[in-house]
Amino acid sequence: MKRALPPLVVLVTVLGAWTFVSYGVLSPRRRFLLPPVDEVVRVGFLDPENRAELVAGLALTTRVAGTGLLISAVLGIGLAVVMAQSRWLERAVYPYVVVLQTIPVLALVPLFGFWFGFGFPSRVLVCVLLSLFPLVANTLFGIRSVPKAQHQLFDLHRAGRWTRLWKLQLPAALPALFTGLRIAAGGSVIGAVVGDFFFRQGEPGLGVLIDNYRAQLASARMFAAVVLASGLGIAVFLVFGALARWAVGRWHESADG
Amino acid sequence: MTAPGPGEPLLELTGITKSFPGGVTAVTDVDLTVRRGEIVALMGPSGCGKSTVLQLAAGLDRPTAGVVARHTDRVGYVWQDPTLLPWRTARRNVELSGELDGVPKADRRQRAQRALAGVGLAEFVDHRPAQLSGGMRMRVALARALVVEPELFLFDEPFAALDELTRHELGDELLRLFTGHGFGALFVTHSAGEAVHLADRVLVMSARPGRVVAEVEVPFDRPRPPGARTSPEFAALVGAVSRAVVTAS
Repeated sequence: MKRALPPLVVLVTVLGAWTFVSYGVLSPRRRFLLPPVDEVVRVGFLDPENRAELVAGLALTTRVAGTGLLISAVLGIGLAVVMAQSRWLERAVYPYVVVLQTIPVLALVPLFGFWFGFGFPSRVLVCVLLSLFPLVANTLFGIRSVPKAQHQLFDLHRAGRWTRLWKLQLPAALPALFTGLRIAAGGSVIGAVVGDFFFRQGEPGLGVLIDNYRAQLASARMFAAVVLASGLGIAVFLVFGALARWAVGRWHESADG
Repeated sequence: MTAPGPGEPLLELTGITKSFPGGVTAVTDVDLTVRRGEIVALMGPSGCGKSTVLQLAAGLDRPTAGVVARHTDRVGYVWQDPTLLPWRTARRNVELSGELDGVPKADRRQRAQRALAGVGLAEFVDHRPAQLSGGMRMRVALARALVVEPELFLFDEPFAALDELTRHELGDELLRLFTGHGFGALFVTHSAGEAVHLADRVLVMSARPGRVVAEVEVPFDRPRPPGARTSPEFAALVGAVSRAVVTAS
């Protein structure tokens, strides 16, 4: 409770300033620039029809981000494991993973629409592109961080590739892997919202809703959608943070054969 | 295959040279033998290839020239870093040896329990490495090596990172285990006192490229009598070993 108090003070201050600007600074005609908090809540969240639309958008965006993250996790951890098997493979593949991180991925997004249509698959692909790199890089770093003497211990017992991977490298990589997962999850949410801006067609996710409300000057609902998108990002951050603490803090037992 | 009897050679290095890519020659023309029931200490200036010799002896690396003859498969190895897996409890760390060698679960669990009790850690089997002191971690590493019932024991400065009191304690522990198990051991150390206290023979290597340039016999009885460490004879021998190391540098 003591630790929750300082950020709570800041939150109340910000909400207070927001309300002051809406009612005190902006004239009623220009109030749409920053609709007051109570209006955002009333129009965005309490009106059943608007709420249904926002919740459907949130559900879609969550599903897109989740699917993208899942694919990235499988692909990213898989790639890292493959690259860890040989320096040659790492040299062959890693540059392209880095390229993925350095090019402006969002510039490619219209291209995906062009190739794969404007539906679910394209949106998921944007999430994958934004979340793959941190997973590959962190997992590989984790696997490579195993001290030489621990490898020698496994050498001494003539451990095979899989045994070494399963009992030594992957458990050792877990903390780094979870760090990567946390960063990737944030990237995936961003991808799901931003991807929407390019895919106006099809079912509306939060990004589409934000853009539609903006076009309609429905600013209370737009703010509600922004709040939901932010909330999703924060929730993902907290969930994966807790997951990481659990993985590193407890040093939970590696899978027993 | 019949196991070699007492006093039989367990490890014979003949004319060993090891060069690394890039042209560094770590050791050259090293001959040494470790017999069952003896502890051989290996000393020398930093970078003279002592660790390389151990790795070659364990089969972790191949010599560029020469022959490594190991007359047993049961090799225990202890590093300066205890190399425990931090996500495993002490017992599961000790069990790892059996796991990697394909020992059935119930059996390896029982052996791990016994080995940990043997090094005085019966009450700490469920602790993770982070919850143990440096000395206790080293005891776990000893137990992990002991469960394979090693005939040849290789030590790479195992106690170097510990404080002096813990070091003496673990040295005595090692001598006790040695008396009980009767393995042969090659013990790399920087401490002349530790070498003389533990070993039957002290081999001194020259600076790189390392080779064995001196051998000092340790005439004291086993088990070492109480207070041996403070006797004048002991001090004289430690002095002789230290001088041999300095001469070799």
